[in-house]
Amino acid sequence: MFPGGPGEGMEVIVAGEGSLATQEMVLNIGPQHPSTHGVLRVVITLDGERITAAEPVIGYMHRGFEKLAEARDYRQIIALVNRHDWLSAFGNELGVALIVEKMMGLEVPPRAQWIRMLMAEWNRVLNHLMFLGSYGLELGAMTPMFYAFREREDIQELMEAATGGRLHFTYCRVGGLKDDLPKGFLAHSERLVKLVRHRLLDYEGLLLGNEIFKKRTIGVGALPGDVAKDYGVTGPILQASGIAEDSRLTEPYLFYDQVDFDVPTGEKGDSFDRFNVLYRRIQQSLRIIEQVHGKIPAGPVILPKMPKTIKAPEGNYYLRTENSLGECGYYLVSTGDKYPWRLKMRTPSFSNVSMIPHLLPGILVPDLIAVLGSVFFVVGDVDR
Amino acid sequence: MTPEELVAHLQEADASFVERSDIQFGQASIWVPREKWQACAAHLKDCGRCHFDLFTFMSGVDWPEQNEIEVVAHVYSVRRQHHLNMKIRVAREGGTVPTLSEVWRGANWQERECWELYGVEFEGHPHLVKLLLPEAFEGFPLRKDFLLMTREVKEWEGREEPGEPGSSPRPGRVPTAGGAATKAGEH
Amino acid sequence: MILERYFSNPWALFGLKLGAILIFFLTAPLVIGYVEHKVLAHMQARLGPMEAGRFHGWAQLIADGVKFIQKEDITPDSADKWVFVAAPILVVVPVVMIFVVIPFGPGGWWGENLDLGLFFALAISAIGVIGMLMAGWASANKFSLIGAIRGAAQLIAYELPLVLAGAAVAMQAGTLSLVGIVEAQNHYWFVFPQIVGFFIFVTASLAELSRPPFDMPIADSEIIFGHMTEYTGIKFGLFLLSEYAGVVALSGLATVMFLGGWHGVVVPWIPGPLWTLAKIGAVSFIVIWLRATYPRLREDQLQKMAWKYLIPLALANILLTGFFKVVF
Repeated sequence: MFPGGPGEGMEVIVAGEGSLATQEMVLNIGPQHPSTHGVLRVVITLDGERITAAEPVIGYMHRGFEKLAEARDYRQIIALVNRHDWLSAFGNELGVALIVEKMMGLEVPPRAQWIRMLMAEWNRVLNHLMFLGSYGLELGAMTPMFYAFREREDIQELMEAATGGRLHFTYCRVGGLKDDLPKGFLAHSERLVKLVRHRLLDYEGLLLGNEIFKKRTIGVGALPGDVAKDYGVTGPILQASGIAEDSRLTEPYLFYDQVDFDVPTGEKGDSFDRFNVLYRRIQQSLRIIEQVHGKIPAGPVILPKMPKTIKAPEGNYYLRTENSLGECGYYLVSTGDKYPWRLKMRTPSFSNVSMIPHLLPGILVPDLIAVLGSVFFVVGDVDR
Repeated sequence: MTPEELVAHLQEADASFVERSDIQFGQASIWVPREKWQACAAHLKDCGRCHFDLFTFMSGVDWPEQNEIEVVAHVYSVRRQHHLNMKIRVAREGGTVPTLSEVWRGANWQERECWELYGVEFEGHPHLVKLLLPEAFEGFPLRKDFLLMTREVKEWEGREEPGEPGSSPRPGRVPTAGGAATKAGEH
Repeated sequence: MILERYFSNPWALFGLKLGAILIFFLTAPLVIGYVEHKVLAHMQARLGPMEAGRFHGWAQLIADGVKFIQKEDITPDSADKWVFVAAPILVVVPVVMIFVVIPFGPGGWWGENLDLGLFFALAISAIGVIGMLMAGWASANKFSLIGAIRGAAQLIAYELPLVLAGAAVAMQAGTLSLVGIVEAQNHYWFVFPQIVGFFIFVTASLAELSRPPFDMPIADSEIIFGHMTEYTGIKFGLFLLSEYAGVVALSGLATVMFLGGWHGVVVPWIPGPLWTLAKIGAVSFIVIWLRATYPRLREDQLQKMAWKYLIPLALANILLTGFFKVVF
């Protein structure tokens, strides 16, 4: 039933004639496994505890979003793409709304743009917190997971106040947002920024400063920058490899050119660097959120004169946004109808996972877990 | 480089690289003939002025009227910060495209996905097996003649906006002339 | 020994001692397990068991025990049947045997006063390795095999620091008998001159028990549960029992060897056994605390720590102890 990887069942390869003959073992990590975030399967060939070959097998969660998108109009598609990167759902919606607005040439009201920025940054914090917690859990540190979820609960409560959803928001609309913010939202958001910032220090002590954590992650799974670019890896992983590529800086969308923030980079691109970059990205996102608080103008949240049906004009375009996990892009081919002719969803996790076969050979099985945990991906994003 | 400069530079480098070009909404697309597909890709990656080092995606677009599938590869340059769409049109039946996985490693998985969803063969690809779909799956789902079963079984109620001719009456709702307009600046 | 004053029949004595040890063996792990649930929970910003037994879930582990007993006993088809069944027994019995020699009060109370007490305890605890290997091999599961091999390597490596630290204590006390060791601590507890030995002993016993941060053999994010993966029902319950009982047993050994056993401080009228229990509780709390805080060490880092750091340290400790014993 499962797609064949290298050797279904036990493959026996006798190595080292003359010296002590050993057998290589083929082991399936996944699809049900405590450490792969969701249904990812990695077929590894082991020599003792050292990995000689690895191949990820994906597609367990393929839902055919791109085919479905061809039979839905743009409002329905926004509800659909929530389900890619479900840890930071707003970022996915944003891309769809932005590309249709660009092709239609709509001028979205500034209030809506600033609120979109706020939501996108809170979603980034949500996503990164999850990975901070789960990475510790995979290495054996149980406690940061609970702290991360405590923070996430608070932020999800905030998101729920505005959008009505804790996980899938469907808050963006082509031309603005669904609803305005509720009363007291900004004050709540400000309090939450202080709280999250204060609690982030716990992670530094428990994980980043922990000797055992450093021993497990420094030097493990180093990814050179040019290899990363070749594979199409983007986001925190690319930044950890030393390349400061961030769509918010190079092609600012919304109002990212009017806020101050840095793009943290690492040096060696190993697991510790990736984790460190993630941690500092949360701090930068909180910084952006604080600046946005003071800049939201009054006004409408959606274009007053929206056309009755949203039809993208004929043509094609590729638009990318910096989602939490990397570059989330949409390639829209439209024939002027109210549903797309072709909507290609370029998801960051797909490219991130594709470079796993490069990182894995030559490392030990516990390091496999350390590496897999540091390659940030969400299975819904990989398979669509 | 701006999209126009990019296209001009490519035409200068080798006139046969660019069969046709187009700039839409500020983004350049070039159609490359089959024989020059890999050479053009290598030039885009190695040339210092183009320097396309990040492989973004590769996918297909089905044009059943012209009986063609258009394969699109999008690349980006981190240093120069410009984008480019490389396109090629192949026949629906038996169309093949040379592989780009030697030029950019990221093309490996993207080409596998394109193959299993559209049926476009990639010559020289090291491991062209199904990626997302199960082994036993038959057919090429993203082609337009592969029908979406949910829409065949049941009519898409949203095909026409409520109030327009041909729309299906929703249970419990009286179709109004105004239609389902989005909220107009109430806040 | 109190009981000997009232019972002269050696069989009655034997029965009573056996009963006491078994009762302690069955209840102490439950208490420690419950404490672990609650302590971990409060350290992780949550509440822990609250339902079983109405008042803060005190009956949680009893409920767990009943659950294990009534579960279906599944043996994998390709498992080696007899080895599969025998493995949990080989893991549990050595731990009970350690309880036989731990003295709780003056004269040993219900523990046997063996002349070779310390030697017996450390030797018996090493048998658990065999049980782990049997479980991993017989399970016919690659993950279990990996866990068992890791466990075997780890336990063998950490036997040495354990024994060397114990040897230093025996030198300091002049006897291998555990009762004798406690009696030799009536002026000062051995943790003060043997602070290094204490640290080595606790670290090595954590590794012996596969407790975090040394829980590679049962790393639940990598190999699901190591050698225990395929076990269900009461066999699995026995494995878990042996883990918690092991925590109590090795805390007991640490208490007796370093923390003065039944000798109290400040308050003289609390009976000896209560002091022992309190000290065992304190050491177990530290074991639990370490679980909440640290990620796990990788196998090779573990081995390096044992062979390159702990063993030379333990040898130096013995050298110093011997020097001070001879000179002073």
